[in-house]
Amino acid sequence: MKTRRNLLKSSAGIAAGSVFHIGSTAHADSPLEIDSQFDGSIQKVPRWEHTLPFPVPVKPLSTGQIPAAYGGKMVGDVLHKVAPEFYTAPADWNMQNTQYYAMVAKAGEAFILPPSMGLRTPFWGYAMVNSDGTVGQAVSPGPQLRYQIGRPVVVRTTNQLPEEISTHMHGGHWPSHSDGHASFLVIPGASRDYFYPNVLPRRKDGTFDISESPSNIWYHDHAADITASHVARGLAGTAPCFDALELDLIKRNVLPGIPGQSDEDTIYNNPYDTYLALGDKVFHRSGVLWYDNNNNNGYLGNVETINGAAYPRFTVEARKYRFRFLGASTARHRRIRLSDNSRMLRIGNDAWLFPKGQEIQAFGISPGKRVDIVIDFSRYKPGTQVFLENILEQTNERGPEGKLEEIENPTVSGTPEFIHQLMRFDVVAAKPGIPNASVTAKTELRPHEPIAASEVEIRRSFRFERKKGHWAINGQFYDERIANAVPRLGSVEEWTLENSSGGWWHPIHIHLESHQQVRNLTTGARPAYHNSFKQDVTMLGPNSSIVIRMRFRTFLGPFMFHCHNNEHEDVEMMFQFEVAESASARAKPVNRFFA
Amino acid sequence: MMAAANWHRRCLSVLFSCLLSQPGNLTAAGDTGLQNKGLLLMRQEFADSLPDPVLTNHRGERVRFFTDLVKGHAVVINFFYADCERSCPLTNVTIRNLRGDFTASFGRSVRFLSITVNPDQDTPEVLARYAKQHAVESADPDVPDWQFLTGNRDEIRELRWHLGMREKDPAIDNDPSQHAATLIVGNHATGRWAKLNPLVRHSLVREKAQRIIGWTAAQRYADIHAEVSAAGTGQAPPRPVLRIQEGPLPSGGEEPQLPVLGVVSDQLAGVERSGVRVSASSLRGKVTVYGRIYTLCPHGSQAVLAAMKRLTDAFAETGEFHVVAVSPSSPRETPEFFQTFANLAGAKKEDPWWFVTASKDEVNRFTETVLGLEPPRLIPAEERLHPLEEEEHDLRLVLVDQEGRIRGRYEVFHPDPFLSNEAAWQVGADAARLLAAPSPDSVSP
Repeated sequence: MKTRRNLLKSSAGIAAGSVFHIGSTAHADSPLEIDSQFDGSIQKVPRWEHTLPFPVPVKPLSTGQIPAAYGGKMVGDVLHKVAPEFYTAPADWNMQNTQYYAMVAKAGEAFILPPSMGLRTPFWGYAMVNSDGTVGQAVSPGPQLRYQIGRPVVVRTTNQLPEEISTHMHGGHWPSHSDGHASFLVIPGASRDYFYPNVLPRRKDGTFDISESPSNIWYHDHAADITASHVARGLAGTAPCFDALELDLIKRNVLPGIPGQSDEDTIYNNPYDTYLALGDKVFHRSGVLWYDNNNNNGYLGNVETINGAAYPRFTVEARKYRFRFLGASTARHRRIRLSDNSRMLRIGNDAWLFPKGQEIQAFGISPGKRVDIVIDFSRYKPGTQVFLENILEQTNERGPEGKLEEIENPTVSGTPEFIHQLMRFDVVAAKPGIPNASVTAKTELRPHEPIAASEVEIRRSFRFERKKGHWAINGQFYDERIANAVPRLGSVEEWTLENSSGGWWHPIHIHLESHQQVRNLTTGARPAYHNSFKQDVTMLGPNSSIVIRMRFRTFLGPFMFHCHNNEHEDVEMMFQFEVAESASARAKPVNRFFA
Repeated sequence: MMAAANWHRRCLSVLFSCLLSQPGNLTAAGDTGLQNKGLLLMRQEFADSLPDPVLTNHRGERVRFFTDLVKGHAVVINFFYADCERSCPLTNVTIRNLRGDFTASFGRSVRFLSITVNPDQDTPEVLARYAKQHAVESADPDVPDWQFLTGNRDEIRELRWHLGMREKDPAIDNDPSQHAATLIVGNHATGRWAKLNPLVRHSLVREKAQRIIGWTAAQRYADIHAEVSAAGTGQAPPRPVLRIQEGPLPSGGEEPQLPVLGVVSDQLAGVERSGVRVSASSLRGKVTVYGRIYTLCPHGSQAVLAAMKRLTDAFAETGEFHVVAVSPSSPRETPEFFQTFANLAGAKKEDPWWFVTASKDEVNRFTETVLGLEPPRLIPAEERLHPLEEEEHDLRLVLVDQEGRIRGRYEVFHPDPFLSNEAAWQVGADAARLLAAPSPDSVSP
């Protein structure tokens, strides 16, 4: 039997020279087990060969009231037009600051597997259009858009893929036309002007609600019926958003960054802050991605990737880093820890920073979720190697082993039965001149404005279940013409999300705004610390119900809510709510004032 | 017929080239340009690894699944068995409608493949009978082929699993009667596959299938093009205000009310399939849908029954909804006959769904003077599809509110399947509205 001590010893034995490994490398390249019919897939992949790719930040083509960048074409002068809100923006949306980007969804090819295997993998990704009109290389994760509250953005997205797409900007507060609604498509060869006003919703007194200012946005395809295969093929990217409060935290060196660089300019150059997009894939022996289009239970890969590279290594200075973990898999759940089980500071859930951070040893992350983490590498001697590990076993599409409460437990006791290493950190000495960031569990981050029971106008209940070989909500399937809920603009509703589909797991994502968990009806418990603020994906374990409250502000029109296991979403475990001038307790035909 | 279909197709292609000539849109050539190497590689991932068992179709021909049926084609696949009385009849209606929808646009480039999950019973002879019952053979060479297929039990199971139709629970997986009603739609050339749910609104199924089956972007996205073009017209910036959608769909603040077309003032005295005498007046307080059925009718009544089944499934739980299928009685059409007939239509005993028979005169009086349907038309002998089929009936469904007032008549069977499907959807939406507003609004007839 392997004990932790033995593992430590054996790994120390492998270590060469002054390098000291923390954690096991003994079984590091053993393949992940999956129930799969992918006969002949690649099983063994060399570890720690790739260096961690950073998502590429991009600059706008132009800024100002009138776009100089779209070759003389006005905003909205494309087949799918622009959100009507673009023409009716109030003065305090600062339209004179609008930034214009142009993006193309197209196919590309890259080393996702380690280059020594010599296999380039075709994928679908996004490319930026340059100011001279040429189109760059497609990358996946896509180019990183960096948003600032108070600075509107227009992205002209052109589809050069053979299938329809719809880009969902996940975690922000957008007009219905630009949100990435499953039926508001960009058809092949056509374009849509996505309008991201980057405004905060207003409180009842008319002031902007800074508690709702997002940090960790990501974008991914959301086209009805084919979201899962598109996401698995690579149609996803990252988009951090900043507001004055967060920039001030970087400027004061509370959050990791280079003061004076990371808080300035539209690029926010920050070597100490990156997304870690966690993905899993199956590769055919030719290096081609393998995806079973007819498995609508969930896609599990046997090779783990971070930011589009299989098992990378990352050289870190002995200082604090901010990692915006992103569950970019369509069906895999993970529980992440450091190989020495040391503490991390969790500073946010999904798009939003906590009021104060939480010291943890591990966190659970489902498809669609983001977990904002600060790791302090100053505790390690330069030369140390430490590993990022997934300690949650999942071999089939139903979901992981164990209960949700266990997976989300912030402490790890004993040696986990399952360990799969995802990334190696190589610690080097910190560059002088930049002090270590000061954030601790006591630091005040973003205020939280809880929703009181007295504010609730309507209560609704949604049951996520299996029906006739498909996935249903309240026995119904997604219909683009039915608004399954109609909340009043500016109102608050309380929804019960119930998972009654046997052993299956469903991460439920609601668009438009954050929601707040109120209680767990199954356990009777109040939400754990990390679930007691804002989030946009509520994880439902098997046979559980969770009550949430949510505000519906700023934008009229239909928005999606659905299971973020993208395969379930594609076979119609998806509903839409339509924010309207007056509420309806029942489903109604949806009112689409654009397409 | 063929010439007509070709003309139709020509019209479509002219229409599409008009759409395509708009700036910023695809040219037809660009479509093949998009089939880049990456896509070609990715499409090998699934379709080319499909099993290739030998199957026998209802014509007695031996065919290989992948080589002869899938390769180079678009396919719509479902699993069924001939004795199925649950989802198959409904799925067959969907397939029949899709076949009609795609005759003009795709012709025989798309194939419909119904594979039995009960190959021991469903021999080629049984399938031949089944195919004859469903009148799948057509003289029109543009009607997409529809084959019923049987073969080796294990090979069919393996194929089914490969196509993602596997239940986790082996007991459910092995029970033919538990098979899912799913349609698997694939296009070998583009490598796009998806599972579609035939139980949702038909125009949704059609539009989704079209996106996969189409060979050009213009075909695949014709509906979306039309919708986008209709949603806003160029220069005038649209406004973010709630607008009422065109047509009869109500929405937004002030709901337009459904018209009152008459009152069910009189009773229909008839016998239910349970043998009990029932009367229409006992349905006061419920939203009721009436429809006339004709048990010999091979097509129209199928659509009516399918619509009734969907309505029952959708609203039975409310306890405030009822469906009444009215039919003239005859020595053949007894209550016992209707018990079987209702089972075949998917009606359960406890469903709020009556199958009422009365004398032919009584049925005619009720449907014409009370429900306001057209009187029957005598079918000339040479047009009859069945020797006993003498009359053509008005097969519209009639929606009656809680107060017994007629609020709409819906042509759920129409020669144009698009229109009949829209009507079927509409009656559901209107019934939902009536159920949502139990206090009757004060509209005078």
